[in-house]
Amino acid sequence: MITEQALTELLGAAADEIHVPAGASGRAVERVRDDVATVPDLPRRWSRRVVIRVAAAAAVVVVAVAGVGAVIGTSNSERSTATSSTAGSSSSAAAGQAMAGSAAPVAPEKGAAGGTTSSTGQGTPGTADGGQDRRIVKNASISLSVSDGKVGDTLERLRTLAAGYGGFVQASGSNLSGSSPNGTVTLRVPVAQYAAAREALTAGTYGKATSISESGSDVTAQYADLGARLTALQTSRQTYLTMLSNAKTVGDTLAVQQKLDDVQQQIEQLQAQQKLLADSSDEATFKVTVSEAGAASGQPQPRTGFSKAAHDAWDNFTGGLQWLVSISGGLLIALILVAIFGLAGRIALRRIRRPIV
Amino acid sequence: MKEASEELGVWLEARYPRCFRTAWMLLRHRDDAQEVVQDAYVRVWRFRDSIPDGDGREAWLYRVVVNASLSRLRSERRWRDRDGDAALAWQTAPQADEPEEQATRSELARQVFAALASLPESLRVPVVLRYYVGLTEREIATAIGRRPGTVKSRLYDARAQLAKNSYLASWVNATTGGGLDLPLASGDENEVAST
Repeated sequence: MITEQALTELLGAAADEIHVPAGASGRAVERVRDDVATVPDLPRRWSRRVVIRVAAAAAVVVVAVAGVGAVIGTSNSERSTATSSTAGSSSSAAAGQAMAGSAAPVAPEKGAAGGTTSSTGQGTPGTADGGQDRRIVKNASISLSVSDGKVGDTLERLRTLAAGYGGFVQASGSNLSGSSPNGTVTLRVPVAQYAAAREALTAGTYGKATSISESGSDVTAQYADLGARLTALQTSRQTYLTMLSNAKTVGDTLAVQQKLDDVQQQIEQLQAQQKLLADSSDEATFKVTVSEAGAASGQPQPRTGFSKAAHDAWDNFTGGLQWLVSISGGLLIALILVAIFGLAGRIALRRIRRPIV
Repeated sequence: MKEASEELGVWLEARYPRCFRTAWMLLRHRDDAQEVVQDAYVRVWRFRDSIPDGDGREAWLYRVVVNASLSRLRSERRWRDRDGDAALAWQTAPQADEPEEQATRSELARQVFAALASLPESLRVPVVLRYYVGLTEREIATAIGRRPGTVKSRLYDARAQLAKNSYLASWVNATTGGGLDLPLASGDENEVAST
């Protein structure tokens, strides 16, 4: 083994024998002076430390943005309610009843209710805080199962039902041929009759209700906002009309007329939106699907044995995941982002630190 | 300000031979060594305000040259396959000594560089950085992106391989009176002579 000192001396002695090009030292310094005087500064490469800091800062910013976004998304979520139930479930039925009673709309009744409306007090117009009328857009989907050959007859009776509650049939379609006859009808009834109509549809008179889902969206604030904006615009329009009558020159007249046209256009747009909201909240929508009980209506056969166990296990697993996501809020997303950025940073660091020899 | 620049120019000019030789031993190519030193000098000049004072000034300069050389190695991996050819670019420096003594020095240098050429690059670079440039093991580890323990191991392996070179072993024995820790095996051949 050669000692370190010996090797140092050996290399030093050998290096002295390396021929340095004549005049190279002087030329090098001169060229440095020339280069520095004529060439702009060399582009500075980012050091590893800077790269790491920038990556960490970017990760923090992304996580912060994601967290803020999650918070804002949660706070801005529209006030809406939704229930979904399967007929026969006492809890879901109770929820449906509770909703029908508490979220009863205030839209003016359009016509006399049928005899069945007297059976409940639900649908009585309510008022929001401050006495302002509440406007709720209500939708319901109901699946009915009827005896063989009764699909067409049931659809016809449903049309009669809509008329009986002062409503109308918005759309309908049926397929009465084949092995699984079925049909769908969309009914619009005054919201004041919503609870009564729902009761009638699910009471068993028209068939066995196999599934019910309902949703209600409070558009009171939106409606009131439109009204306020309309009032302001109408005031502006009146002002412009006054100015128009006082205009002395053609230029003034044209300018005011242009403003007036703009305001009028905005008023018409808002009125159309307000009318759409009013229509939606005046009349509830029922989408009723009718199918035969024995047909392949998509109703799954009850699971048993291993199939049931596997199905239950999968449901529990997905349910657990949903629970985890729901309770973690933005934290889980933030952790995932941090993991992704961390992995990317680690890979980048390895590339930067790649050994030379 | 101008005097400082003049002083720096003189100082760099005086260090050019050692910088060039350092770059040459790392790159083993004259033109590349000249380019690398040139680049390093430009960098030194641009950052002359941050040059440390005292003894650290010279070490800092060699670090710049070493980093520039290693950057060249990193960016031209394909070229590194031509190590054998590059080694032939070595030229003996003209000496004012007696012809016999000059011949001895030249032969020693030829044998040393041939022995270095016989080392794989993973061993040769740490040897040059440690025993010619004078970097510590930790500094070498930082420079080449390895752990200090790896550098230490490689230096040990390099010295072990160089010890097998009978010419170097006999030179060390003759000049230092026993610079070898272990006697050479009788069957060792002069690997350098055959390269």
